[in-house]
Amino acid sequence: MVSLRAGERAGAALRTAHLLRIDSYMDIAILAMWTASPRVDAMLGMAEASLRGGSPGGKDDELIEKLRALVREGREYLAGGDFSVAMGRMRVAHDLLSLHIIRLSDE
Amino acid sequence: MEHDIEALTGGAMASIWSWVRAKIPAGVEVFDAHAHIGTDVDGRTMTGDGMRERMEAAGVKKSIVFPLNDPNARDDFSGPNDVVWRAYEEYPSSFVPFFRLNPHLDYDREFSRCVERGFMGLKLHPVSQEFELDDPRVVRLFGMAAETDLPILIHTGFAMQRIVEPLLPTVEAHPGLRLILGHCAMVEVLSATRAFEGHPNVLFETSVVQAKDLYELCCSVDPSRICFGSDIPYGDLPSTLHSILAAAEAAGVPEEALPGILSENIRRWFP
Repeated sequence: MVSLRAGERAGAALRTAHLLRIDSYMDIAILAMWTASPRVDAMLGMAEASLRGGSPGGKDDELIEKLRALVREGREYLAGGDFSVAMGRMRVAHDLLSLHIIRLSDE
Repeated sequence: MEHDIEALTGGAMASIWSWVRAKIPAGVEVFDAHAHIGTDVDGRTMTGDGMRERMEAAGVKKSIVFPLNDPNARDDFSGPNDVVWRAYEEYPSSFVPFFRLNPHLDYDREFSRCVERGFMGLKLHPVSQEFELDDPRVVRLFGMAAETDLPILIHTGFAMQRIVEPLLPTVEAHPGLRLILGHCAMVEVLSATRAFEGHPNVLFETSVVQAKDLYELCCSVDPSRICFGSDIPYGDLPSTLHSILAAAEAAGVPEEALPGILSENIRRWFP
């Protein structure tokens, strides 16, 4: 049996799967913000958690690094009561991710 | 915090904002087709001064503005409509004033008052005012707007469940009626582009729409039918400009079409 670690594979399918996971957690976090869910901070924490570690083969690390910074600042601004600034960062992070996945599907 | 461009464009947003600024073609006077002034039942507010400061900081020249879902709307939105009108009187070169109505209630008097006063369009929100787009009272209102050549911006974004099917008969009955689909009919974006493709007086407005929806929009309709919006105070100018510019680039929209999306397509109606 061959043991495969995510870091050793970087096919488009695995890269897409990894990014789709993050996209789902972003969706949940942003919806929690729009609907003022009492669990919004935990949802943002899940989105942050999904961004930890390297991407498969490290091929999407540059993007993920950008997303980490945006989500971290978004969570901080929301905790400080600035919804608009927080939402701006989350929306940009989500958009960068979505368009990256779309481009990856065409490679 | 009503307006803080530093927070909106600093930190992790700094490189994003630089990209946006570089992407806006030189000489383009950005026109925001969707923004609010007033107070909402959810507590959000925006003043005319606050709106102007945001526009200046982000390099936006003109904005369509209309009331939020105001707790002081009473029966006819006359109070919130007056707030928008006062902002317009203070900054006539910056704002294009739209008024808002509740189609459930007696709207004839406020419609006439606002048209006579010089309001340049009408905003309708099917979710906040809880109506369907094929409700007879709404269809009558569409007819009144067509008769007076008054553009209408309809919320077709978050929480909408029926858009194309109830709206298409009105668009077909009034081909001259100028409609702005706020948030670009996002849940039905592909069927909306197909249904309204042959109706050049229907524009797709982009505020707070996800880039993947905007990608599909940009791939499916001529760019001359797309106009930028921010939805301030729910959205902000840097992130909403990023959404449409990034989606347009990914969709292969030619650079020559960007002035239209950012300004000229909506400016044709409000020179």
